[in-house]
Amino acid sequence: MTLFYAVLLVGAAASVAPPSPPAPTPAALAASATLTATVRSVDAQARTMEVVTGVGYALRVVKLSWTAAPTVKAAAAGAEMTQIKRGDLVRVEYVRAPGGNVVKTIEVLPRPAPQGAQ
Amino acid sequence: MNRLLPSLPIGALLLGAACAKPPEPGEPLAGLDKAQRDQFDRGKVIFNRVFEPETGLGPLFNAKSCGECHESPVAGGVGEEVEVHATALFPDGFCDPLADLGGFVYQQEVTPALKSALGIDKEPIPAKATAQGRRSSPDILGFGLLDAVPDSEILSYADPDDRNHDGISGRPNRFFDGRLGRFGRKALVPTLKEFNEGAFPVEIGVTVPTVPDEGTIGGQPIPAGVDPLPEPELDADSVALVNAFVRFQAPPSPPKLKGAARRGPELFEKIGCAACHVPRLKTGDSDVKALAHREVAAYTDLLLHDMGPALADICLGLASPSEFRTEPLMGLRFSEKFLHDGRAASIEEAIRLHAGEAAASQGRFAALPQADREALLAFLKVL
Repeated sequence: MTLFYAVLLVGAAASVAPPSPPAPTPAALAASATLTATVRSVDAQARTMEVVTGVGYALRVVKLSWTAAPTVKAAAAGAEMTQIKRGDLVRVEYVRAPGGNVVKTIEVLPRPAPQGAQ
Repeated sequence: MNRLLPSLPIGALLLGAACAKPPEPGEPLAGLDKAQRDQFDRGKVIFNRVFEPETGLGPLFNAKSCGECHESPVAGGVGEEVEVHATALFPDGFCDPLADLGGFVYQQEVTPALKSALGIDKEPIPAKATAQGRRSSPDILGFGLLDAVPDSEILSYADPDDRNHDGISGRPNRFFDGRLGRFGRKALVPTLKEFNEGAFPVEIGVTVPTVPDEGTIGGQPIPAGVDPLPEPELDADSVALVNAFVRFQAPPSPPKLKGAARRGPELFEKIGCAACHVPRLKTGDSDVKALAHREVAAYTDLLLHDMGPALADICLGLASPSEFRTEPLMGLRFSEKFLHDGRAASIEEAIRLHAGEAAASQGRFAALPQADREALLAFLKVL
């Protein structure tokens, strides 16, 4: 796993053909955020996941969900949410919505090599 | 004679620089500019500021000030306080820091308001935790230099698969965003700034701009009215000053080796201590001239090493229960208790408790003639 591979959020929602998502409003765009964190849990059926992040020893769990609207980021063909497991290092782009944090894209990042020269 | 005269002032300057007295414990690094000295002095005041509930303390906390735990012999030194950490290790190897349940630091004190509301004396450790660990309060003198060591320098000592077959297989820990960790007994935290900023809410219960919420009480929300101060409870300028104070602390002055202690460095190398307790690290580029391209006698590689099952406690990040970061030995002279949890009453006992990757070195220490053991201990006591 030396290259990034993106995860297609379409995987868990494949049984339902969602309508095209509405164009994002300026407010939604303003609430976009990105974080890099470690997956603590993922429930592909419920379309929810939790990641761990924080500052120093002040750690926090961030809860995320995704809707039926697929968000695809180009990369490994066929990758999907069901392939994400706890312990994975992920970069998540999400929107802070009134109902919670909604994932737009997610990438599983490779763990850095243990030695710098590699 | 006339030719010598112009060079005298330069010669005197060079002599003065060569003989410059190294900073005493608690003093700032040599070579800071006036503004940095000013930040150091002002940051020290906040480092020693005692917080009360009215000024942001709690509702959970381990201490009322930074200086309460880092106090001896000076602000930034060691402390007697021991805190409690807990995490959960799953069969698939995933280490859960229990961040949703108040983890992984479980505060040992509560404010009167929280005690009245919940009737607790400390934060409860969740049943989900698979291990607890106790952590003593180390000195943090010279940690600005450790912060300035490039990742590449640390990684150059890593040998996770023990390819050189010396029985030592240091590996780096990583924070939850993948960055190289170096601070904390399990090397979780990447930077000194983050370590300090996280310490305010975790250790004192004082929120800061980068951590603007109090978290939970063992996973439960804070009862209404218990923590009425608006967040953050400490402003960014004050946090920056504390960061400057910690960052600009001079490392302990180089040891003055006398008598048998002079043989210490050689013995330290000979029995293999230096394989993990790397005597000197080099800093890289820095926006602070006094931190850039310096050697620091840290006696650590800032990597994780397996210390054997007897010392094992919590997992953290990528660190297994038995893996600990090589403890920096600079400042060892200030400690009265040793190892990560203070279980060893002497340096000799701490060495005897080294196992795992350190077992061979420990064995060589035990096999040394008494005079050599005493020489090595005399050296370690002045680091």
